[in-house]
Amino acid sequence: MPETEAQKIQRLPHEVVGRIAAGEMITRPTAALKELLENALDAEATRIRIDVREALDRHLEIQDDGRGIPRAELALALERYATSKISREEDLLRVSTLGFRGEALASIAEISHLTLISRCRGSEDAWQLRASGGQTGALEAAARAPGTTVRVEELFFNTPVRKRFLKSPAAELRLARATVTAFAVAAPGIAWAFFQDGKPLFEWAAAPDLRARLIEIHGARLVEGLLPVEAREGGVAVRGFVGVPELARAGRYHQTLFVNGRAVASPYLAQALRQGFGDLIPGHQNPWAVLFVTVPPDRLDVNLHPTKQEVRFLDERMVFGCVQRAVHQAVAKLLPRLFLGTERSPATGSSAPAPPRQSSAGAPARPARWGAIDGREATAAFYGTAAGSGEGILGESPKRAAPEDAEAFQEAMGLQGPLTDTAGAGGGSPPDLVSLWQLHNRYVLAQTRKGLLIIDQHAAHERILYEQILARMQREPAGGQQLLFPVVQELTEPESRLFGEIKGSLLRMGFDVEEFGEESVVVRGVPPLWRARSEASLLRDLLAEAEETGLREGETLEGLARAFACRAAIKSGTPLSMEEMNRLVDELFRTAMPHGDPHGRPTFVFVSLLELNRRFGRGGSE
Amino acid sequence: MKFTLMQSDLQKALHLVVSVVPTKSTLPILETVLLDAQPKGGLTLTATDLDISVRAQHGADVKEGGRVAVSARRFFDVVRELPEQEVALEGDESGLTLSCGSGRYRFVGATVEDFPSLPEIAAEREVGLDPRKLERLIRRTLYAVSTDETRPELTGVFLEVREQELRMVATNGHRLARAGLQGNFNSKREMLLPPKALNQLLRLMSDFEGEVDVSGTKNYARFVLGETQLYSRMLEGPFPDYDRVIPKSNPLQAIIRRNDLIASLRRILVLSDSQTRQVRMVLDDKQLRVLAEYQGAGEASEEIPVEYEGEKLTIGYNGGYLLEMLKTFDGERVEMRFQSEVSAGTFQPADEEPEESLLCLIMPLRLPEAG
Repeated sequence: MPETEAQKIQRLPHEVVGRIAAGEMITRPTAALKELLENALDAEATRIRIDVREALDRHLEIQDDGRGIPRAELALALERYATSKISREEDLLRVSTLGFRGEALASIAEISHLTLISRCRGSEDAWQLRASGGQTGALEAAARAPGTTVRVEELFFNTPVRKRFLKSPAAELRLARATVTAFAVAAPGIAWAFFQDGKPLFEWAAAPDLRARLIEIHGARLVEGLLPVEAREGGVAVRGFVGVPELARAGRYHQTLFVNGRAVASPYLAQALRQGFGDLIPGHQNPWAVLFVTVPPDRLDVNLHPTKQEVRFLDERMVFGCVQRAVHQAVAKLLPRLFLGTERSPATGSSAPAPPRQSSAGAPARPARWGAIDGREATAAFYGTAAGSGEGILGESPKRAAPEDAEAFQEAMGLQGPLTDTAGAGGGSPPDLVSLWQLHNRYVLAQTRKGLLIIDQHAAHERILYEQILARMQREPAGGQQLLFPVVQELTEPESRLFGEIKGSLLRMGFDVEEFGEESVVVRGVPPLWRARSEASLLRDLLAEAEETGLREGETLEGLARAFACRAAIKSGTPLSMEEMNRLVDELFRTAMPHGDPHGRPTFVFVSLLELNRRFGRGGSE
Repeated sequence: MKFTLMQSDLQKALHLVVSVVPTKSTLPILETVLLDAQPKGGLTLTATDLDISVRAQHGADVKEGGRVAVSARRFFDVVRELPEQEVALEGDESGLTLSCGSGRYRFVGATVEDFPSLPEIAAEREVGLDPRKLERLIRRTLYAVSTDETRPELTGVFLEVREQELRMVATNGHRLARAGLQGNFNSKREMLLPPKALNQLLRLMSDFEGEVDVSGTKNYARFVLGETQLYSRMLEGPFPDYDRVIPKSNPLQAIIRRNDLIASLRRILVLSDSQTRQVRMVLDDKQLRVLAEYQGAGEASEEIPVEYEGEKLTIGYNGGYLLEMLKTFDGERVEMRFQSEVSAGTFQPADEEPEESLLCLIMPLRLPEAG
């Protein structure tokens, strides 16, 4: 059988090799844009303008005011593996510029009509070079301010397969915008402009810092809700912002992650970020974030792929832990910020003690129980005597003077509904507490200085019980409330097997329970809880819940605590007394993670006064 | 119907019944008060929320009998604003017109047949009680009921009439209060009363001087206070066999001054765990130490003199339970009896009125082994 030409092994013609290589790197128009932007940044540009006409692959032009390319090097710039950024192999280990492979410009020139115009800083003339399908033309004189212009027309004109598989121009443009936005976030000091068919899509002036840039991009309203992240551990630094849990969405479009200044797609970092939020975010959502991770260049491998979108850390665990802890710290600061705003009024209070309480209504009140929301510190320092004690709520007041910044703090909290003392300690009349309101027997509404707080009573109680029972199982086995009438509970076979497995944990929770015959148990004591729901069947409910949620696989104390909290917490639809609401709110804000229940649902929603003002058209005024 | 009476009499009678009227109900007829005027019987007012009903009678000059149901809230709000003088009422099923001086007030009537009928209870009296003593029985037990709706039998107060004793008992499964009254009752009855009914009863008794008659059927209880009757549906039982859990002999006995213990607990509880309200009591020779701690908040301890000569005992309690209980006690001294740190402690006033008795049980909080 005669050999056909197609079956012979032969060296590919030069231009085919070039196109294959180019296709590997420039997979879509936005990839070209990205490469060109990196070049502009590496050239120390301070202003970058992007122009698109019709579609990204029809006409894309990038202008910068960077160093420019000397006349003598213009032709070289279009040659593959020609770069000014590294010169020896060792340099690959210490890449600190964005581009370094020397492939980009050459690759684009290979598959488009490319025009390169450049003028060096300090030089009088500009020069222009055209290339088409890899064929470079002659150098011509041109006119331009210092900097470089790269115009790419008819991208993929000679690679019809690639062209056929392009996404719609609109989709490509969306991606291009996202890419430019990521660059703009990474480089706030640079002015960015993006024009489509001569009309500006955005123009962002050089911003003093990241926060200012984020305001330019997203508006002050969103940035208001962001939590700054700043941490350094060993050689790893993490900075940026994460959004409050409400900003979490499905997908990852709202996350921008940078490693050493380069936007990356790193599921690994995204996971660390997510874990930093603990259980505050539901499983299918991801937090809003702009995070910059910096590691020593020699501890990072970005040379995995020509597009440099993937990175590999040599110290993966350390980076993971660092990101997770940094985010966690930021999230833990969430509460004070939400209620106090960023400012805390300067100490208007002197060292003089707070005014003594009086027992008539309307008298100068002692600080109300909202103090607890500033976390444990404030609670301990300020409400030490009253916080969390039911008897305190019932009208006992601290007799000693409050700490010195009491008034300032009280002022800052914007306390409402003075906590007036009830008539005498023994009085049976209900105390008049902070203004709380129960909505549909389901939500507790409270006023704070900055707005309105709406608390989901079930979720809040779940969070409280979850942390308490977990602490009990992990640290101190607490006492159980013994029952007058021990309850015998029959268990199904899987329940009773599960019971055997987790009995130790149950005892530490405070259950006093033992096997009673073949498939039942006798409960003589239960964890002491206020407002316990269905106490008699608590154990059984807990086992059923644990069964349902497949606890046995997890075998974690957390899972058990979650099941317990879920079953023991007060239900939606349960009326609460004023005292109970206060207690609930108070204890919620003593927890480590008051923001969400153990399933990741929010425990409260905060509506700021600002937001309300906006809705009522009272622009800006507070 | 057509009748006249003094404004103050009408207001007084209305006042007795309107607090039963539910503020919002899915059954509009429950928001009305039923007026029934009879030439011989005078005026009868009835209000109900289906669980609890109050009926009050008052003399009136009835020229023409009849019945009408009108909005309780609106009728009462007008009547109480009227000057104290004679008012004339005239009406039929369609409505009621009230005339007073130059004023005319017409209230649209609801369908009288829709008004729920009250349970039939034989008229004969079963047990007569001094309202002040009944008040005390209620106040000494009502606080101890459970709020756990999955165990409805514990959410009420159990009233038990025996030959020589009447008892009220309440428990939430952690604590129990049993108040008794000696007397020749010569009757036998058991009732499981919802707290709502007892609160109404307390209200009706507050300025009532005569004797309260208690009677009932299988499902309803009735309290008759002169011209006023309170009907209550009873809760589903059975109430647990409480006698079984009351320790017969708790050997370790201590006597303490009530006010000392109350004052200490009030201070100590401030620094107790807000969830468990756990206080630790250490009973030793002639003194009781009360301690509490609250992680992150602080700790407290006090010593109180006590009459005690037994072995050292450490026992944990929900201090809130102790305090609530002690507030219902009278007299200067409290007798406490214990057996061990995991069994029920009993508490009773050491100096009680001869025919009255009060016994309270509190189950301990088991203390951690380390404690």
